[in-house]
Parts: sequence; structure tokens; C-alpha cells
Amino acid sequence: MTVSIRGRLRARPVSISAATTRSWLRADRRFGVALLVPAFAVFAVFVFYPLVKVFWLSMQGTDIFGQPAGFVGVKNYVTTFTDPEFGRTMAQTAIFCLAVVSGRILLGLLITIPLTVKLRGVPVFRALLTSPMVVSVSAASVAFAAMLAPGTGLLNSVITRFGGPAIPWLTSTRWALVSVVIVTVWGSIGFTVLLLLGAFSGIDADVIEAAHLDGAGAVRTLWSISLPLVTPTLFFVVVTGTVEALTTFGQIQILTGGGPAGSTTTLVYDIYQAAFGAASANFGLAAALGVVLFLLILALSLVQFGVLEKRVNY
Amino acid sequence: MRRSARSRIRATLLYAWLCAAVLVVCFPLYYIFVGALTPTAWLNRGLEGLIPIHLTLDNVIRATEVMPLGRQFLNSLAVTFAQTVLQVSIGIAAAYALVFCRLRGTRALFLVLLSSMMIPAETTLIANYLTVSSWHLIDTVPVVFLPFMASALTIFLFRQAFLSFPGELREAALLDGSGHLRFLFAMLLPITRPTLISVTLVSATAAWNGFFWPLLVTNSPENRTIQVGIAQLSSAEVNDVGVVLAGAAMVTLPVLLLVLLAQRFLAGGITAGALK
Repeated sequence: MTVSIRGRLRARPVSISAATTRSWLRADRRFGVALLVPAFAVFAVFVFYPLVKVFWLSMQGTDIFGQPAGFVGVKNYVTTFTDPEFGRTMAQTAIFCLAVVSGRILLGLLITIPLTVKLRGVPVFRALLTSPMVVSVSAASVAFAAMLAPGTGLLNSVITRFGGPAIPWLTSTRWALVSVVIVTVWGSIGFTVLLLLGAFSGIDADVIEAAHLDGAGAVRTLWSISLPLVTPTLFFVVVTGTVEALTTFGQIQILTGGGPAGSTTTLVYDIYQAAFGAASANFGLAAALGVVLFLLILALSLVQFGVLEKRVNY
Repeated sequence: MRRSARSRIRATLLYAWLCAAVLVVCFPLYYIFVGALTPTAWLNRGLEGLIPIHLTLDNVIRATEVMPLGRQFLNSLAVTFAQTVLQVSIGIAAAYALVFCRLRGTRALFLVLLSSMMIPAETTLIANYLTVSSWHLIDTVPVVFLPFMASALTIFLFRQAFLSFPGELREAALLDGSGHLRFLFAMLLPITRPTLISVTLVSATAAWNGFFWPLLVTNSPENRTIQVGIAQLSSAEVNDVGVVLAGAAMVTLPVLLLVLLAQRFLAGGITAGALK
């Protein structure tokens, strides 16, 4: 059926019976439900069912083949929370998240703010400074593992050439976590800059203009106008960055394997070792740790929704 | 006069700072690509070994001899293709239903969707591993993308784009008697194409970069993805830096090319879901 423009302009009264409308609506809904089935089937099988199962598993013992072996109540949780290693793991996880997130924010701002100045060549700098985005966790980790290698690594060869001491980047308990933080911050800096650039470019030019007219210098404008206006994005980076840091796995697996002496074992790496580590295959314990991770991330998400809805603009 | 001198100093300082930042931020990328093409004997000499004057493909050849990286590259391509096509088409379907099909309870469905984004894959991983191993799918290629056939983020981004679709155009299409499919393919998707492209790119990059799940569910070298392959190459060839970097370069090159091709779409797209 084609309706000419003239025909539509004449606004012919079209009479459609109520029954027809209802059957249209029904067909519409059937079609809609059919469209939703694939997505929600995948989520049911691979997101919601496993979540329930992890809660169930966390209250199960584990036999020597790694299979669930009977209800044990909160035993896995008690084992977890009374293990001094768990406290250490959580402390390391917290330090790691804090270092990664503050590193991202600080470096992100230090790189982004000069990029917002109108200068020739800024697009080239922008492209170059967001380029780490193309490197996967795995590629970044193997490259940094080579660069930070204890003996022949590039970084140590440069440091020793200038008379400095060779640093055991990946092999000492003092430096290993620092190294993982460096690799993680580097890997996420491109995306952080991209997000912040978006936020700064969203600031109304008139507001900045008005500040200048009122006699505010560049630093004052940045501190009192621009930064407060990008707080929603900064907050977004803090929350999603914390979630991302909490779930870090590849860097740790490739760079340090959780060591030396457990000094880079975080919560997620602990889950991996409990479930799939060479000596373990304890799915019950791993599930209990998984529940802890879920609750932490749930709390962060609720904070995000709660605050972001109101928008942070101080 | 004084003003222009001051602004020139300021510009110089900013350029110096930006150049220093580029040096630090881009060095690992330079290291990966130049190192991949430089013999390890030169790389072991430190910084001057990285002057690109000894370029050769030997590292790449040796890397593919140590690990079946060619096969793993194809595995990764297949996984990326399947996962992206499924995520995007299932995502479009679900978002379309949520926005245009006048369903009851869409708000509740949307909340279910949002809540699924709060469930970390690292928690459900253990149960998913047991599920796929009970289906005897461990150490196959399809199991790598199986749990990720649909993505809540993808649906969310498409929903945002569809919601901003002008209602008048939708009504015009209905008056012209076009059904759902015609409206979707002839009008909605062409108009929301920037979102379509950027979501596809984000989806594809995430699929290509997957590491944890592929590491768990594959065992034999010929079923590994290349991300896992280069990690194993790195521990097998610790002393041959050039070979390790050749692996890293093989993984990075496709994404680099993709991003260079689509830079303009990507900027708006990745950040689209960040803030409502």
C-alpha cells in the first residue's frame, strides 16, 4: 500500500476496527518476544544460572576429582575468612585497585588536559596517545615481560647504563606488584584519555569564555570550571576502572603467575588458583571466592547507579 | 608583543610535554613492532638494538615454528567472526523488541539486562566451565565464544541508538505499510549505521582480545586462540625476545589496522554507553 503525499495531506479518515488493532498488537508482541528469546536464553544459561550455581557450589564440598561432594554449609566461607592468606590477598587486591585507578586518573588528566588546548598537530598527538588501546592484555603482558626481564631486559639495561642498580621487576616481592600495576595502567591509558577527551570536549565553550571574561586564568579555569564539569566522567572512570582492576587476570597470569611468594595474587587470581591451579581443583572454595567478588562488584555497581543518576557536579 | 612571546613559551612547553608523553606511551608499541623484526642478538644490546636497521622476518618464521600461531590466528579469526556476528545480530533483535514492539514489561526486562551487567564473568566462569565440560565441549573452538553469543552491553548500546530514532520517521514507515523487517533493514539500520559500526568494532576487539576463558576451555595447541598462544610462546622462548615480540606483533597488527580504518567511528562509539 502506498500513500501519496497528497493523499496523506487530505487526511482521509481511515476506519480500522478495534479487533484489527488488537490482532496487530498481538502479532507485534509475538514478534517481539521471538526477538528477545535468543538473548535471554544465552543470559539464562551463561549468566543467571551460573550465578545461582556458584552460590550453590560455594556450599558444597569438593571430592578429589574436583566434583561437588555434598552440602557443607558455610564451611568454604569459614575456611576462606579464617585463612590469613586471604587477608593478604584482599589487601593486595585493594592496593592494586587503588594504584591502578589513581594512576589512570592522574596520567589520564596529565595527558588529556594539554590535548584540549587549541594547538597545531593536536589530532596527531591524540591518535598517538590513545594508541595503546589496540594492544591486548596478552600482547602487552608478553612485551612488558620481555622489557622487564631480570637479566637481559631492556629497562634494566638502560638503568644500569646510567649507573643505576638493576631492579628485579618481576622476581622480587617488592617490585612484582608495581610491575603489574605499570602494565595495567599502560594498557588502559588509551581508553581513559579517549573518555576524558570526550568529557572535556563536551564542556560548553561559552562557559569557558565567560570565565576568561571574568578574568580567570588558564589554571583557575581548569580547576574551578573544567574539572568540576568532567566529574561525572571521572567518577565513571573510577568505578569502571575499579571493576576492571578487580577482575584483572591476564597480566598477573603472564607476568608473575601470582608470585613471587604470592605477592601478586589478587582475588580473581586466587579464584583461578583454587579452581584450576595445579595442586587444587577445589571448586567449592573457588565458588566462595567468586561470591565474594560478585558482592564487591555488586556494591560498586549500586554506588555507580546511585551516584551517576544524580550526576556528580561539585 | 609580550603576550605573544608568553603564548609561544606556553605552546613550546605544551609540545615538549606532549612529546615526552608520546615517547613513554608509544614506546611499548614501537618495541613490539620493531622488536618483532629485529634479531634477538641486536635486541639484547639494549636501546641501540632498536634502531630499525637490521629488519628481518626471521623472528616471525621462528615463532610460527615454535607455536602453531598460523592455526591459532585462524582460530581467533573464526571465534571473533562468530562471536561478533552473533552478538550484533542478537543485540539488534533484542534492542528492537525492547524499543519498537510495544511489549508489556519492557522496563522489567531492561532491568534484568542491566543487572546481568553487574555479574562478573570471573564469578560465573567456574559454573560455566562445569556446564560446558558436562556437554563435552572442552578443548574445541566453538566453546570459546559459546557463553558470549549475546552481550548485555551490545543490547544496551543498540537500545540507546534506537530510542533516539525520530518517531516521525517511524510513523511515516508505518503509514507506508512497511512491516518490522522492512523498517529495520531499509530505515533503522541505515540511519543508526555509526552505532552499528562502532558497536561491531568494540565487539570484535573484545572477542579478539579474550584471554581468561579461552585459556581455561582449550588445551591442545591447535585449538588455542592466538592470545593464549603468544602467552605460551613467551614462556617457552623466554630468552628469545625477538620471537616473543613477533607473537605480540601478530596479535596486535589486525586490531591496529582495523582501528586505523575506522578511527572516526570509534571515538564516538566506545564512549557512547559511558554516560547517559
